[in-house]
Amino acid sequence: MKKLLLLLLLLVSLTISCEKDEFLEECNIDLNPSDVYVYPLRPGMPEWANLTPEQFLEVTQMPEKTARKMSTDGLIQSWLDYPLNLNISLNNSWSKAMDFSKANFNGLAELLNRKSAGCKILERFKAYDLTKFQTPIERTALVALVGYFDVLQHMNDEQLREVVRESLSKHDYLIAEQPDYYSLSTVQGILWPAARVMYYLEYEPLLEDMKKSEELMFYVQRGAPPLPNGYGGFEFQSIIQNAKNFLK
Amino acid sequence: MKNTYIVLIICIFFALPEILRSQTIDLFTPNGTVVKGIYLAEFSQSEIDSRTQTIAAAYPNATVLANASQTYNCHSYAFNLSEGGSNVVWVNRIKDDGSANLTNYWTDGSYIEVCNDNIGDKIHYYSGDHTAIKSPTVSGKYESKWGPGPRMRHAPDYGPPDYIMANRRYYKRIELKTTGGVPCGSNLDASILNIGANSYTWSTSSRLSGGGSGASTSFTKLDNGSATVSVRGNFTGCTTSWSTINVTVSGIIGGTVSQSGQPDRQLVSTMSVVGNSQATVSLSYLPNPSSISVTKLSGSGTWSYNSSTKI
Repeated sequence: MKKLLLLLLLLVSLTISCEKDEFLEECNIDLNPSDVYVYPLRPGMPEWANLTPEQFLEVTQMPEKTARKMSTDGLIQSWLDYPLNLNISLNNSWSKAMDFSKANFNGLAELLNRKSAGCKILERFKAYDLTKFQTPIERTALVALVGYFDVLQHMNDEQLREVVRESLSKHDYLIAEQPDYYSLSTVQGILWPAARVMYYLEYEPLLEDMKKSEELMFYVQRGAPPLPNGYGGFEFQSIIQNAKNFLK
Repeated sequence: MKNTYIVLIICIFFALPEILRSQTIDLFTPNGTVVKGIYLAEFSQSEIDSRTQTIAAAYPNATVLANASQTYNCHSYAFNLSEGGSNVVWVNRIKDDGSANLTNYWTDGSYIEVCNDNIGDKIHYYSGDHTAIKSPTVSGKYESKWGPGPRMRHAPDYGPPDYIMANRRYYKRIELKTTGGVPCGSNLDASILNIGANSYTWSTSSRLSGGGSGASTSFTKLDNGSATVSVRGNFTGCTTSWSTINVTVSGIIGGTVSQSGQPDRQLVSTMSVVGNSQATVSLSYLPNPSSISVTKLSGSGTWSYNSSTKI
């Protein structure tokens, strides 16, 4: 009987440890990883002007072996440095642009396979200092990553809530501290991860609002186009209020 | 309390333009189908500058024609603004329910798909949700708005790789018109702006007959009611898509039937027409003479009245 109980206990603990293994509950991040991929060609280099779009993809491709060996922190930074991530902001759908990058850039594909991706990307999002963004396009590469379902699926419930919390917090900062540099529609970008989490979790109040506004639905699903009607508009306030209620 | 009111009034003052302005507008294709456009606020100046410079550096072989703007996108530029549209709006490819929006421009016959950009001047990158126009100033180049980024002049296959620029379709504005037969006349004439095809194939529904291979043709009217007229151009090695318009066939024979010499005594009639030569006329009462005068819209004539056929 004792042996049976012990066996049962072992099985239960194994099951729990397996569940835990799906999501990293805590993780430390290295903001300056030593194994960041150095792209041989980048915009601004003379050789860049000789490339076709197909060659853009080729010369910025990270070898699969390199990607597999790289730390998750290194992969995240390599994504943020990826010369073609600017194309996300030129697409009518961030989600589709992320799908394209996942299919064509080994660095992102490998990152999205890592179990630590959710935890690490969340911490990276939290650590990202908005005052240090050089361009709005760089910020888009980060928020598009955070709000990508392939990333969210690596997060547990608390981490998903943390994304919403952080998203709101960053939005508050931008509104209060950076009203001149960032336009309102760009501030929305920082709210996209919050909207995406609620959409990912099928948070009913947001889904109801999305049925009322085609623009809100497009924005949550695709990231573009930005929301109309200004800060006081239904769409903008829907995301903010739903995010606040979601966190209660 | 007074301060609260002041703050409230200030807030309303600044929000008023957004409140008053409708967020969407109905644009129309040349054939009148609604395409939804969305008004969006512009970037801040620092963002405009930053985005324009970043994209220009990343795509050095493209020329910036206009700074980054999120008030309009590629579809709006290609089919609305470049055609003289005055509403600076964003146009989505589809609506939220998945129904058509952008594609209305070519599914309603306003534009037809053609074989190449020698003929077509609108370009749809169909795998990448992007559109462009043929540059009106530089041969061999296209011009397109890159999302909320800048408007660029570029080679047909030069741009963001996720536009998948090898997959292109070409469209040409086609003005398919019907004239001279509705409601008057026995024929319905149709013509298109000649797009330089070797020949044209005309098609129609059952209320009309005829065809032809030129840029204009004439159909014989067979029956009153709704009909369609379609045309496509035939080029060496390829054929365009069909352009179709709806027409109403009417007036083959019609007008007021009056008893001869008594124009104030109208014989209210209904007519069903078979072909263009026979008509069955149902009169509400019988006239005295054995014949009645009928004014046909394509002419006039006297039809014999046979009382034995009265019902």
